[in-house]
Order: sequence, then C-alpha cells, then structure tokens
Amino acid sequence: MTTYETIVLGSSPNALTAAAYLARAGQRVLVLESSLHIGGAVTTTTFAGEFQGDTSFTSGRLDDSIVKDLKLQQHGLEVIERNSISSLLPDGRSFTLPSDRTAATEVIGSFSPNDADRYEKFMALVDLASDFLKSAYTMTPQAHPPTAIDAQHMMTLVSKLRGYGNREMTEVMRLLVMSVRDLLEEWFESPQLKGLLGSVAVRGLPHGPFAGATTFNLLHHLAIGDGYFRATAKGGVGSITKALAAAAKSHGAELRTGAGKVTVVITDGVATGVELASGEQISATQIISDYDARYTFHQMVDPPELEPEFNRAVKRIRYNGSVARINLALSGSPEFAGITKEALRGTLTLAPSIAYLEKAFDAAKYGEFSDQPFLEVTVPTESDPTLAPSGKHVMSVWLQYAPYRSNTPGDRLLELTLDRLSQFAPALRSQVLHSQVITPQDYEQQFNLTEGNLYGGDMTLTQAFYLRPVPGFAQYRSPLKQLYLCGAATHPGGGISGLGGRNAVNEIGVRDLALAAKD
Amino acid sequence: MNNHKYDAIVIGGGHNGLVNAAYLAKAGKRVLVLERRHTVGGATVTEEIYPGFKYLIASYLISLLRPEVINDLDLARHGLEIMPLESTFVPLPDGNYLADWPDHDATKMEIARHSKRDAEAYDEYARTMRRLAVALRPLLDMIPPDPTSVSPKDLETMARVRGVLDQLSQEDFYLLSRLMTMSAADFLDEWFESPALKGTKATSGVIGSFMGPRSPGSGYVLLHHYLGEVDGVFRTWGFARGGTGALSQAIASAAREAGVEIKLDASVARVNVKNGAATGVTLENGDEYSADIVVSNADPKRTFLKLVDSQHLPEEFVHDVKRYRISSPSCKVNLALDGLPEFTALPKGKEALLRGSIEIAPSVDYLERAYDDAKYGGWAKKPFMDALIPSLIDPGMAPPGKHVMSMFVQYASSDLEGGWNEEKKAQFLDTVIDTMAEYAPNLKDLILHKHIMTPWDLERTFGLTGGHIFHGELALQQLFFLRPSPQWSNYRTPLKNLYMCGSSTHPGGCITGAPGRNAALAILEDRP
Repeated sequence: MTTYETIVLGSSPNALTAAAYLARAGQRVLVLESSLHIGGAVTTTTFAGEFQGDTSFTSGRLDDSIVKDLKLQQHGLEVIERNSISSLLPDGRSFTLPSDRTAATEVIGSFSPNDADRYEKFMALVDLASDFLKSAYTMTPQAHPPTAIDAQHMMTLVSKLRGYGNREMTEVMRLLVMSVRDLLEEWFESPQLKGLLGSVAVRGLPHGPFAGATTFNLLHHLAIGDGYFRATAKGGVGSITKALAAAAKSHGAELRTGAGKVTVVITDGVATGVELASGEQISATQIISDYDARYTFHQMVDPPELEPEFNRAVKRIRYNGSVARINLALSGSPEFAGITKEALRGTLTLAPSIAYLEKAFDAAKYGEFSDQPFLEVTVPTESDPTLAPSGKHVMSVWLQYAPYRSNTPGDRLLELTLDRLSQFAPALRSQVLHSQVITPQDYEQQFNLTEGNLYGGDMTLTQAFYLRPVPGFAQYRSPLKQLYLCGAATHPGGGISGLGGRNAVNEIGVRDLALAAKD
Repeated sequence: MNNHKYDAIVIGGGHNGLVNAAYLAKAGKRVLVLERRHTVGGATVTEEIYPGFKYLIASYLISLLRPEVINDLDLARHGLEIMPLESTFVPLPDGNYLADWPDHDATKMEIARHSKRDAEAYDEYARTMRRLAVALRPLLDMIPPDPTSVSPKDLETMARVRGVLDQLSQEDFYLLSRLMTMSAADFLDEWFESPALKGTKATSGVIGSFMGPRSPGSGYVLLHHYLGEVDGVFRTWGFARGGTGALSQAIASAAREAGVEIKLDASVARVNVKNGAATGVTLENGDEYSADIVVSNADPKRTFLKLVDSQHLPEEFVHDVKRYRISSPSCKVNLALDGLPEFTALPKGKEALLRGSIEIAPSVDYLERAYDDAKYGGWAKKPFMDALIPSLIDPGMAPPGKHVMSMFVQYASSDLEGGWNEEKKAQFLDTVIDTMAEYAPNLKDLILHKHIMTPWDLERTFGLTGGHIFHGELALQQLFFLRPSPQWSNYRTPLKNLYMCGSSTHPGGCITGAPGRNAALAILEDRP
C-alpha cells in the first residue's frame, strides 16, 4: 500500500492550492480527482469537437498572494480582464458600465444625473465593506468560545473596522446584513442601474434581491475579485486549475484523475486513508476533502462514524443549486443591440431591474422554473480566439434560476435562453452551431456537487464565517481526526479565490503542528 | 397665545409615549403629553365606530408588555386586566384544522394528529425558543451601545451585550447566529414537516413585516415575537378586558396619578428650536408649549421630516431618516356580526377554540404567495389573517347575542400601485371577507357593519408613516444599535433636548412599553 502525508480529495482551485502549498513545504501529496479532468467543475473542456467551453464558472481570480507564492505566471497563468459590464435592456438602450469610475459616471448620467453623482461614493463604500470582508477571508473563523488566536483575529478585524472611521464602521456593518434592494434604493433611482448592480448580489443564490442579507453575497463576490469587473484566464478558467496543477506538480505533488467514487477509510475514529472504486487503498497521515460537507460526510464517510448531531447539522446545510450553464458554439460573432464590439469582451447581464430579478426568483421558491431568467453572458472568444476555430465563437450563459428541485430538462433551458437572447441579438439562433447545457443535476452527477450548488452551499450569512460549513467546525476540521475540509464549503466560500485551500493549510499547519509539537 | 412651561413634553400619547411620561413624572418631572386625537393610546385604542360594537381598529393583542412596566406603573390597580388567549385555531382548506391549547400536552396530541414526528420535535422546539427568549430578554431593557464609541459607558454596555452572548451555550450561540440571519421558513423546516404547523408558526416571522416567510431576516422577527412567550406553550398572547384601548387608559391613569397632564385634540405642528436645542412645541392651532426637553413618540420620518425643520439637523442624519424603511403590508378589518361565524372545520364540542386566535395561515407557501401578490405594489388575493372574536372573550365588546370580529390582515402594500382609494379599499375588504367566508360560509350573512384600515388609513388616523405598525421594519439593518439610525439608537437625537421614545427605537414594535421606559431611563441619565 502506498503512503502519503496528505491526500487531497478533489481538484478544484482550493484543492490544488492546498496541495501546492503542502508540497512546497516538502510534504508528499496526492491529489485524487474522481472525474476525468483535473479541476472538477472548474475546467474548460472541448464540446462539439472543436470548441472550448467553461464547465461552471467562466470567471475567477485567484488571490494575488497565491499567484505570487506559487509563481503561477511561470506555470502558464495569463489573466484576461473583463473591463465592462453591460445591461441588456428591453428598449434597446445601450448601457455599458466600464470599470473606470469616471467613465462609468458619465454613462450613468444618461440614465440619472443623481445616480451619476452618487456612483463613486457608493463604490467607495462597497470597496470598504468588501475590503473588510477580504480581511476576514484570510483568517480562520473563530470558534465559540474563542481561543487566544481567535481573540487576536477579532481584534485585528475590529481595529480594521474602527480604522475606517465611525460613520464608515456602522455603514459597513449595515451593509453586511442588508437586502440588496434596500441598499440600492438608498442610493439610486435608475431601475437599470439598480438591476445591474443588484444582479451580482443574487448570483448563485437561491434568493431574490428583496431578501434580507443579500448584500453579503455581493460583497463576497467583490471581495474575491469576481464582482462587476471579472477576470478569466487565457484558455478559459480551466487554465487557472491547469496552472495550479503545474505548480503543485513542480513541487512534487502527484495528481490522479478518474479515481471514481472514493471513500475515506476510518480506523478507530481516525481517517487513515482512502479506498478507490477499484478497491485500491491508499493511506495517508491526513486527508483533506475539497468536496462539500454533505458529499464528504454522507458519501465519502460512513455516517455512523459521526455523531447524530453532526449528521443533522450536515443535513441542514442549504444547497439548492439554482444555476445552469449553457455553452453555445457560434458561426460568427454575435450582434447585440446597443452592445459594442468592445463591450462584448466584458460581461453582458440580463437584469434590467431589481423587480425583474425578484420575479425571476419567484417561481424558484415554489420549486418551479422561471421563464423570465437572470442571465450573465460572456463571449470569451472575443478576447481569446484560441477557444474556437478561426472566425467562430463561443458564447457562455449563466442561467438563473433553474432550481435543482425543478429538474428542468436542458433543452427547455436552452430554448428559453435562445428566446430571451434573441430579443437582443435577433440573428443569434441562426448562428448557433452546437450547444451544451449543464444543469444542477449534471453538476451533482458529474462532479459530486450536492444539489448542483457551485458554491459548496448557499452563500448566505446563515452559512458564512463561523457557521460554515456547519457551526462548530469552521476551522477546516471535522469530527474525525486527520480529516479536513478545504473547499468552497469552508470559509470563505465559493468562487475561484483559492483562499479556502490556503487557509486550510495555514490552519492545519499552524494549530495542529503546534498541538502535535506539544504532544 | 398661550404659553406654558414644562420639564418635558411628550409628542403623541401612544402607549410608549404614555409609559415614557409616567416614568418621567414618577421621577419628579412636570410632564405634558400632547395627543392629536380625541383619545389616548395612539394605535392602542378601542373605538365604537358602529354603535354598540367595540372595534380594535389597530393593535389587538398584548404579548410583550414588559413586566417592569406593569409593576412600576401598577397597571393592575389602574384597571388593566389581561386575559390570556386560550388557544389558536387554524382552519385548513381541506376541512381539517390545527389547534393549540393552553395545555402543552393537549397541543402535542393535536400536533400528533398531523405528524407524530412534529409532536416529538415540538417539545424541544418550545424549550429551545423559550431558552433563547429568556437569554435575550436582558437586551430588551438595554439602552443600545454605540459600537463606534470608546466611552466607558458604551464599553460597559458592550461588555454587557457580550455577557449575554457569552452565557449562551455553544449550541444556543450558534443557533441564535443562524436564526438571526435565516428565514422563518428555513428555520421551521429544520424542526417540522406538517405544512399547517409550519404555516401557523411562520406567521410570527412575518407579522407586521413586509417580508415573506422565505425571506432571510424573518427568522429574527419570529424570535422577536417569542420574546413575549411566558410559559413555553405556543405564543401566549393576552387580551386586555375592554380591548387594547383599556391598556392605554390604564397607563394614562397611572401617568395622570403621577402628575402627567394629558391634552387631547392637541396636534403638534412643529418642534420649536432655539440655539440648536429643542425648546418646546407649537400646535396646529398656534398654541405654544415650552419645556426643557421634548420627547417624540412619533416615528422618525414624522418627527424629523415633518415636525423638526431639517435645517437644525445634520445632513447625514436626515439622510438616515429618509432611508429608514417603513413600507407596510398590514391592514386591520373589523366586523360587527349578528351572530357567531360557523367554521366548517371546527368540530362539535370544540367551540372554545373560537375564544382564541383564528388564523388563516394554512402553509408557508400560502403566506409566501400572499407576500408575492403584494410586494410589487399590490395586495394578496388570498390574504393571511389573524382573527379574534373579542366579544367571546369579553362580552362587553358587543351587544348581547352580537359579536365583533377583529382581523389583522396581510399583505396589502402601503405603496399600492396608483395609491389607495375608496374603491380599492372596498375591493380589498371584499377579498378579505371572501377569504374568511371560505372557512366560515355563514359569515357574509352575519355582517351588520364592516370596517377596514388600510396602511394609508393607519397613517392618516394615527400618524404612522407608511401605516407601519412597528414604526419601521424589523429588518436587520434597523435593529438594536442601528435603530432608527446608527449612532442615534440611544433615544437621543442630534437635536439637543429632543428624544425619541416610540417603536422606531430599540427594541422595536409591539405593545412592549420598552422603548418608552428605556427612553425615560436615558433622559433621566441626562437630567436626573
């Protein structure tokens, strides 16, 4: 039987980040991926023979420190910025918000001069709040009662908050708990601007913008650098995982794909290794699971190994995957009314108002599928022609809400998407050569994402910080000795930041090694 | 022109204004309460709009009245008699029903009829909610700290808040953290499976709030209503003999005994300001009253956007007041009835159930759809209702053999598209009665008189902005040290000598008396 110091289960950016850091520190590390591709759901794969499509996320930005520490540029990471976000408006008006704030103010002015006046102040406030969140994101969440390290973290955060100034301090606190509808109504009057800015707050969330605490999800996306102005990598987001994999390998980590269903071997309450579908067993000193908590503890571990109370907490985690991905292979560059060629390199959003987003969600609440969806559209080939044969294009659509519970067939989602987008790009249907639809069911079946949730569990305050993935186990540990979590299920949650992986390594390294040294 | 000098003037004789005045007077202050209407109580009134029938035109139940207030003001001696509501009756569309009784075991057996599992979970649920409510109660009586301040007093209060959280067990700390941020529906799903039980429980998460039970944030409102629970059985709400107006009369009587002067039909037009400090008020009729301090029982929008000239206030504060959320989905319907409504779902021998709450809330989805209908500026096609037949509890509420029915109704938007008018009022009233008649088919034949208070009527009648019964949403960004505005949650205002004492201050709405009492404590700190 082969032995490793660490086995990492799964190979999303968090898993590979953890593996790379551990290997860099000299550990013997094995990464095991159940599916055929390194990256799990964060991959760019070939569809229709000659087109490259992202499987789940089409954007994401690893934390700067990870890019630097692991020298990812040397391993082929080339960031492509998306410097604008455009709103698809039913009346055909052009509304492209550039990342440059002065230029953005000018654009907003044509919708509302008042809003233009407030835009920079608003962005400054959300910058502050997301900056605060970012600080919390680089720390292990506290336990209750807090340890000495926790108290230190709290002090750091409180001083950070105080440092913003009194008024700013309470404003940031309000933002964290507010509904995004409430927030935007305080600042702006233009429905178009509110729709566009509010859409990020419901991205990936099974809630509408009227719901309490939705601003938190907006700040989350901003904190991980994936808010309004997003980034991808040359070759698609899959290149991010490829670069990470290369870095991990360069430090000696081994990567295996196609491992099939993996279970954790538990001996006397201690995770001692894994067993593959083939029956092969591999032992390790520690196992780090990148999978979500429900999959890890109810599929990879035999539930009787865990206390009933813990199993109940795992069962209570809310997943409700509500996003489908649609990739289209196009014969040419799509033409949208009011969208310039330059804006096609950015993100296009169908969210003309807050009420539109809420209505998109209304059906989902009852487990039904809304025919008035919230869409985010990118045409990655506009900035990266390598993703399609010459002259051809790939269009990628994030469709929400397609609730897991509704189990809506892919062809219906495709039809609806084409219907909606054809209102803005009349020639679109005639340009479609092929299509690929990935539903929440597909995510669950192909990548073991519970209920197809791409974020390892809803990004709500109820499942954030010291409550993520379950209360009492937010320190990347599990009730089983030597079994850890590092994925989107852990703090700071979903997205391609890699912070979960890095935090987990720090936590396991710092606290456990300190403890081990004491023993 | 008259001029009179007082230590304190309280604008508005709502229950909190009266409580505030009584506490100040007991501390030796010369206090004047100015009430716009012909009677004290604000929204806590009983009115005979149709001869012989006493209507609860706004608030209808007492659940959270602070025991300190009852004791300190000796309200029992002043005529307050709270009769516990015996039960809740939830008729269901399929002809079945769910009931809860004052007796825990009887309720458990009843729940078992719907789900054995729920009956088992119910014990633990009741214990847990009670435990949380008891643990958090000290927060209700606190003057909220300013988290940005490093003054010894604020640091001490913050330490007390931490103390409250620290004494929670690990399990309760996590549960509280989750409940504060989640939806009532999600929370109840963790406990129960029966749609009827979840429906009736979820009502506590949405009463008075413009949210559905699936909105995160409704979990807190649920907890808010449990803070008044006294003995672990469902929600224990009380009914004041003579209606909620009798409570106001009792507080007014205590206040008068302590020396408070109460002026009715005295509508305040503005707060007078000299040298950056409040000096008194001027009434609509031109009369002026001066005082060392002025306390407003009105909501912040009314106080700071109408009564105080905004030139006296910091721009930032005016901004905070403007953004304060106060849209409301709540209406009140009263019916004068020629006899008792007969509920199809009510089994023979269980007529006693009509003496309690009658709740039309058969499921979480029912409530959520009612919210969906209203949230874009409409009203619920099938509204949620919390009804009472006060004349069964207190026969003095209607002539012999006749009855009154009080119905708290949600959702109908204060931001109704096109605004409310007589025609729309009549239409919504029909919707309410039609919905209730689905459960009590003889209802329509019994109606002698009907009366509705829409959010606009509540605003016009009582001066509640947006008709909001809690003086503003119990949204997370409007709680505790953020209510009504960051840095001004301690009952003080940026205008010197002006204070707030209404439901827009901590701990918020319902008939608690806590804002009135806490504000008096804050005032007495400043002016012993």
